[in-house]
Amino acid sequence: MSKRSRRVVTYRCRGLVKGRAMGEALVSSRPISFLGGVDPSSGVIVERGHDLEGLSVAGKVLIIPHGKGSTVGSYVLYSLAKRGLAPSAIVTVKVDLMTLTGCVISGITLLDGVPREALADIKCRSRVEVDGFKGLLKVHLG
Amino acid sequence: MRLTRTERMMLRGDMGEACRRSMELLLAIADAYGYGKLIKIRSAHISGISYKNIGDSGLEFIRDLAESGGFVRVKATMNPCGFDLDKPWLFDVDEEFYKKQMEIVRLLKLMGVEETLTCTPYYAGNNPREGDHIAWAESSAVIYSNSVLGAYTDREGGPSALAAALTGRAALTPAHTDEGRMPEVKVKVHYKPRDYADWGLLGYVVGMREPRLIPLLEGVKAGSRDELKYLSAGFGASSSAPMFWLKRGEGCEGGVIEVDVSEVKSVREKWSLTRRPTVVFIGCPHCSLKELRSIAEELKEKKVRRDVKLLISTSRSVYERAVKEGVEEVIRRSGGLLVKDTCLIVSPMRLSKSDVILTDSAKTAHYAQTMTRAMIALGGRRRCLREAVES
Repeated sequence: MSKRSRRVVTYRCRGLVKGRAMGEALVSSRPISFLGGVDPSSGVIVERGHDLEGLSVAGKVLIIPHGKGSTVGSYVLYSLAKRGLAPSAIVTVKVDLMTLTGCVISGITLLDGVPREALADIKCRSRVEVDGFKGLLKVHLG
Repeated sequence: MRLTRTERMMLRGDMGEACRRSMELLLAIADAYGYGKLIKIRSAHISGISYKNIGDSGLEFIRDLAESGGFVRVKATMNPCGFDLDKPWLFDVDEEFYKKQMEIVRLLKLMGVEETLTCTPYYAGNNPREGDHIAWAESSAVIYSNSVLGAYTDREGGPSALAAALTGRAALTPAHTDEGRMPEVKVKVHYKPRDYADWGLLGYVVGMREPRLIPLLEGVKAGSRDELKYLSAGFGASSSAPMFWLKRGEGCEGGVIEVDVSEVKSVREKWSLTRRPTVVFIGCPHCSLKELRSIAEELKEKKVRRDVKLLISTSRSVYERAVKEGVEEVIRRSGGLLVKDTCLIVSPMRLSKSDVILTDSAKTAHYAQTMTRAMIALGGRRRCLREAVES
């Protein structure tokens, strides 16, 4: 699944919303609910007890198992995108309707099919590149 | 991806920006979950209408679509909003909420969506026929139209149902095909529902047991349309499947599970009434005219207790008929509040820890327990009305 070159690990995924993005990884093995879980005016994760609580999604590449909760969460992504506070890309293990809808209406590059183990292997803050055309996630090590 | 000429034009933006954006969304869904194709639909039903649910983000999205020229291509109806448009004061609505809710409704009307404001569009002129492909959101209405009316719809979300309305298409997903709708588990039911609360509870328990599979229910007598409406709503609240089957000649290839009285009882005990109710809520899903007639019959010459709010919700189309028949007057004279356009869950009504909500809807009980701090109880309709009136 992943091809190791010297300092980059590449994951082959499925590109669901086209586009390219680069940024810091924000990784969690827990799903995220955008409705109620992320403040639409700041982009900060506010879900109590979530391991990413207090961090902002703005400009980050969010790597999560999937989204959760009502499809209304798609509107929160839309709001964030209009204010320049949305993630630059989202990468999921298995996409859900809310995240898919949110990314399409907001133009956020989206991949699914990243292996679940990757959530443990990819470190928060590592530099990653996302290619929504080819469905590639590249993680720069070190 | 195989698209028709019209669909390609929509995607290019030849039919306007709102239509192009809607097309983009449907194609992404068709790619991720479906067969990479779209299907023409006869109607759409749109959820996510209440400002309480969608907030400023949802309002913003709807406004952008309306301002970029969106207009429906098929019959499209609206789910309930945050208050009865003729009696907003009953729902603790402040000025900001009022304005923004009215704006959401106005924008949707501008795009040609009918102001039905009900979760029972099938009582309000959006009545699919057997075999129709439709794109509906609102789980109770989805389950009802698939399982009772024989229409074909997936469980759309608010945005995808709106996109479907603006293009006249839905993503072709398994729920739109006969293979994708085959029952996946047989449920032997050893329980006889006696009233609406029982029917809702049964649906809820079945959905809890196998929340992802399409069940074939065995041992359930075909109920009335209203009874099946409650079965659908309860099932939709706990299951993510698009439908259930009551009868099917070929049977079912999946496993077999049994549901008996004890399981129903254990859920019911969780929602038992231990204190006097402060709110009695009936009408989830919205009441039919037949239900309102029998409620009026029960309330005739009775008085609702002053420390209880008896809230009965319905659609505006049924409400109008209830007014003509004098049913509304009987309920009003008793002190009951017959309202339309909304329900307990999507309204901003303040409910505190000291409130006790008694309802005959498993769906309302399910959502109220996560969305309010009040105590929740489930009781039959008779019980609900008896608790609400002076003895």
